[in-house]
Amino acid sequence: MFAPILMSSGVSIHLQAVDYIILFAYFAFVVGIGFSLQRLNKTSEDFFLSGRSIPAWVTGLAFLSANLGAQEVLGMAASGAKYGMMTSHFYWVGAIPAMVFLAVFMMPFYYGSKARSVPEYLKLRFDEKTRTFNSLSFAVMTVFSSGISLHVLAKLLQALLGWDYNLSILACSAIVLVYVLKGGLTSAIYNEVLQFFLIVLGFAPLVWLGLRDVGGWSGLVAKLQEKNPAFVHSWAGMGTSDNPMGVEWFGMVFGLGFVLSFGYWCTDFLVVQRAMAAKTMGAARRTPIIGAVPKMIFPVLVILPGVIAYALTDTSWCAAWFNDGSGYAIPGAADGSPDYNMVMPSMLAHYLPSGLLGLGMTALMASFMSGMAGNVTAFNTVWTYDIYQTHLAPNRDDSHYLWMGRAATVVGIIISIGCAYLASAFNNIMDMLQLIFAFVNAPLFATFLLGMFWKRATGHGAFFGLVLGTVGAAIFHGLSLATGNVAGIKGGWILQQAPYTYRSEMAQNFWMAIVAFVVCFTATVVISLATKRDKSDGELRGLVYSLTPKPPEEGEPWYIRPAVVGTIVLVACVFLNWYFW
Amino acid sequence: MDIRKPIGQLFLLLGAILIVKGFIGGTDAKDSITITISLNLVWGSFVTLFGGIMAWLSRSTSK
Repeated sequence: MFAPILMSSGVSIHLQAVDYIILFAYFAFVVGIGFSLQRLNKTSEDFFLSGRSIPAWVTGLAFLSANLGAQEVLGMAASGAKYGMMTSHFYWVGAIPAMVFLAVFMMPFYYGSKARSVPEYLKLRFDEKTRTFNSLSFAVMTVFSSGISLHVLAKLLQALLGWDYNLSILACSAIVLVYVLKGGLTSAIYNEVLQFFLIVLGFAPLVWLGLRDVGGWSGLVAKLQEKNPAFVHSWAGMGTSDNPMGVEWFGMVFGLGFVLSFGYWCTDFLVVQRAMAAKTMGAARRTPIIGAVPKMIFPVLVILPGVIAYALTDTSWCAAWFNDGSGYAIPGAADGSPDYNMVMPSMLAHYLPSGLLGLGMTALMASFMSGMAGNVTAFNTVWTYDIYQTHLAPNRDDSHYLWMGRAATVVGIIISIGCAYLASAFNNIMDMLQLIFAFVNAPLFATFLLGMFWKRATGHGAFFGLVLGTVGAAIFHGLSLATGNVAGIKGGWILQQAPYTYRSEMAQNFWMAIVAFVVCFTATVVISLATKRDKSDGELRGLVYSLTPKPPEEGEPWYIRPAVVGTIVLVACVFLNWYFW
Repeated sequence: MDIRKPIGQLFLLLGAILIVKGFIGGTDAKDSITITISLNLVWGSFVTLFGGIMAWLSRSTSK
């Protein structure tokens, strides 16, 4: 029996003049926004936190869009083609609950403490060493993420449009550099909102055309039932790991839904920074919830195209050999395996005529560039406030830190370029990012959880808990491996074999996150109890839940209060999970 | 700067470009797709409408 080959000669997109006009119009606008906002950046708080002056609807959409980078647009479509409806877990389990939790319980501390960054909150709550550990690890993570976005973008432009890889990296970096350097966080936020609308307007026609081609929703479901019934369910089949994702329900709920999800949405400064830029406490609390509403619907734009792609691809060997190219098929990689990361670009190329194609490609590029800009703005803030001001040059004028912020922007872009050349080991981008997040974010959420809700947690407990949690993640990674992988960067490097094997890298990453969280949580509790309290109740007021007066509702009508709207959002999320069971 | 202003301006421009392309390009469907309407014209109109709404909102707030 011959193995099926997905017939493809490679994806290429031929942009016409109208498409380039649309693309360059977008570039001109993002750079222009940066220049327009330049005059507003008079202080370091203006540059790093937009002077805490942004309305909630803007910060809310930026909060969502800051996460809407390469990993979302390409990765979700790829995952949709690879895993089907189970991919929705990244939204309905792996995002919405954490966003609501952040809004209702954690933003009062972030915003109320007047911390300028997440690491600074750790300094206020615990001590300097905890902050430094977090700021250094976060800085590394952001430039890695930025580099990944840049690499994927350049690779994509090379593959699709024939643009030179190195030139693409330099050109896109230059555009991001200009608008962040000139406009600071406000420019990044404004461009993220722009990106949000571009993605909605750029991809919606693709979804409509794809659904039309597959026979509508009922036709899609019928095709999936025929090819792989597991693809139409999000939870059925998760009693064991014998499902497309290779993850059982416990790993999904606790690994992704709790540890990784809360670890990212509640502690990652990239997204929290957007909420911190809001003009009031109420606006800051509403920010994640405003972002959660479109987040629930985004699977239609980014996952559904991948599922449609799978449904349309005839994987029988006979059809593949004789594919006349008139229908859509998932492109094949050089080794004949499906190139899932090319699903979204190939769908754009297949369905959209010139004009709309330019809009779709612009949306795609916008998502990459915003992802990079978001990471750079988070990096320059953490570097300037948490590393440079704290350890290298304290007590300088604010204008000096404003200058350093701009310098850090340049350096951050340069480091991102370097990281771009390293980001090529994982076929599916999501897997790599989950690994990075597991190392850094999983233990961190345990620290925040205990810090915000347990006044007995001490600085020594927090710091050593973080260290041990990160070490725990590394050890677990070194002792585990996904089926089919060899010992090395993918795991199993301690013994050059793996005592613990998993059906997929995703399952391995989720369990690594669980281990890291448990290690950090346990170590923090034990060490805190074994060490003296280093802050009094008075010093922890405003930083710990039990010691902080509940924030006033500021005369808000009940229907916009975070707890009420958050509850509605959670109910809707539960409904979606049930409907697509 | 009200962000709705540049958003409105950009999408008015992009919508206009799509509309012009729609008039010039006919049905502009890909060979593999049977469709009798101009996608650029229809969607360009929608994008223009969106841009116009955003631009109007930015002006009405600034007054």
